Amino acid sequence: MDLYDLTIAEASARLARRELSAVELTQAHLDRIATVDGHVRAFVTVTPEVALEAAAAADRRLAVGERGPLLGVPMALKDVISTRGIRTTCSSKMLEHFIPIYDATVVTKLYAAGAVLLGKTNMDEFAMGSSCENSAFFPTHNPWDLDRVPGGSSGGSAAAVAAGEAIYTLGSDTGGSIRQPASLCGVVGLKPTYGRVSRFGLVAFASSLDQIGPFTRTVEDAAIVLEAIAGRDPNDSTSADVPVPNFRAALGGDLRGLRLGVPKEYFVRGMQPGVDAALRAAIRELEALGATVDWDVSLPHTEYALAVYYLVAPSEASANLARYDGVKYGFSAEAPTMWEEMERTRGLGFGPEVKRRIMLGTYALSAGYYDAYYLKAQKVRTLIKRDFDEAFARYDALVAPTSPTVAFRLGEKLDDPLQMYLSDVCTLPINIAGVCGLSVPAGLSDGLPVGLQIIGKPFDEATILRIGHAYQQATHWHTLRPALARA
Amino acid sequence: MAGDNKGDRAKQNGRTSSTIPPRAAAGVSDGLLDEGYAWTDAPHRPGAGYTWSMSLTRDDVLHVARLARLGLTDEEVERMQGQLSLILEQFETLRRLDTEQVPPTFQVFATTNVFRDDEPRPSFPVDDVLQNAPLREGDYLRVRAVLEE
Repeated sequence: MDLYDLTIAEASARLARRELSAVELTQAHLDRIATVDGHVRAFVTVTPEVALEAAAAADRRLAVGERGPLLGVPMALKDVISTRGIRTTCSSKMLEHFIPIYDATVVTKLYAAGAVLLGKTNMDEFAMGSSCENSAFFPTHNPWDLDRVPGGSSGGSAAAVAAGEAIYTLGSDTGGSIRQPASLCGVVGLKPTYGRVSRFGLVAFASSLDQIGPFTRTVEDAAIVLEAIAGRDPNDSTSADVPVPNFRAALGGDLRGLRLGVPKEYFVRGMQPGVDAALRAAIRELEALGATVDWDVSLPHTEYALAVYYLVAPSEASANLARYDGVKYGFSAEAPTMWEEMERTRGLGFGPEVKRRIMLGTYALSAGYYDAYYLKAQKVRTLIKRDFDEAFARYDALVAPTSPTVAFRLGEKLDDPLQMYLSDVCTLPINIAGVCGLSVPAGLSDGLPVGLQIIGKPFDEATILRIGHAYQQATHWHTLRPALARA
Repeated sequence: MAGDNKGDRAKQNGRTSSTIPPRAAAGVSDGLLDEGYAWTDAPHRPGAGYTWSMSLTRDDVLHVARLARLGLTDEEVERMQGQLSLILEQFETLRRLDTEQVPPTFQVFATTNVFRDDEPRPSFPVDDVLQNAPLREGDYLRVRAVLEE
């Protein structure tokens, strides 16, 4: 097995036994990036010096007997997560040269745990998109088929793990931006409950929906990373004051006694037959592991989630992105007057999808339309949340597709925003309700990965991780690697 | 000094001569508080009740772009008009639901105010804060005059 195939659990065990040094492990990943990233293009910035220095520091900590699951393990961060002294671009021309002056709380926590930063990964500009094609710099390619998208918006983070360029990565998920690319790239992706992980230092897109979460190869690794980054943070008043359990210790055992529901609305029209078949097989596997499955659950307001999301998220985005005025930081264009300068800065600094959403959000919040669009959407959001409340009174978790399709071709949906928006139809409702969701590799369709989505109660990540872990103990899908990995 | 700073900005942005026409050319007036513009050209007046307009006019697009301080090219205005109209049409589905008695959910876990003690803490060094500034003058951000003669 190559070093770049290791999981966190495997790598940290070998580091702990001192069979392998963090510098060797890090160098293996830097070499891997040098070999494959010209094709995959997962990274916006690679930080070899920072990585090797952190690895050497981790080796010193290991040498004096310190141990920890992330100590000396190389990782990468979506380029929307602030890193002090390392440029953080959001894959936007607006922040192409922006260098944060502080670390995000998740970064502070990972550094303290001994994490080694390999670099910053590509994304749809300001996390708006489902294919990574909205990056202002270049698209990322799916390691399973370089002519296809990795999904988005955290496409670089998903592709990096799939291609063996990092053992784990962090992404952010506002409407599916961790789970959908995880599904399309055949890796594990977790969106924690809203408030579980601090958003301090995460460049804001839609503040009532955004959450940071991990990409890994196994569910066990996702549990390890979540435990390291979760918890109340005084710098984020929306982070929840809820105890963080030992997620890794909660793994294990079969699924006897668990009640699972399959929401029928998630098996949408237009779902690919291969995806449908793989998912039904995966859910039958969960039944075989002892879970009780109700195949006929209804979340009746699901069909309204897309409209709610595309009113609420752009509205919040239009307010959050008002800060890019060309004065304090970021791109700045010149014009004869202050207002013209601001309009030109924003007109040239933002790409088409970001502009579209700013326009949509500004419209929905503007006088005369606020009640009809924004307020109406927030009321329907209540109905969607109630659907989940009622379902979770009867079931311990819900299981559904992550994406109705496998990875689509680059360019296929680029000129049709509505078609692009539909690729998140199975993930959006989870953010709207604020609950947690996990995508786990669950088979192949036409040689491309399919993801099973496991949806959990608020702050009950432990149950969905336990289900995903049991599934991975019984199946081999997560051990498959794209052909690229042997290139 | 100001000249040097400008040079820095040009370097930082890889600066660019703009292809965006000035606002006047795009048919938007320049006044800072030009209330007259806001609704005279807009077909859907505020207070006229719920107007679920499915297609946006060119003036609607220009009005919203102005509210967002977003400079758009003529081509972008045209494309936006079509695309936004199509997207707004999808939102029509929400009308089917009676939400008269439903409270809105602005945040999923109703958090009340979160307070902390007002203890003095060190601030970021000024040089750190200004290191990303496009234009700097001493310890200040340099901006164009807001009100001009």
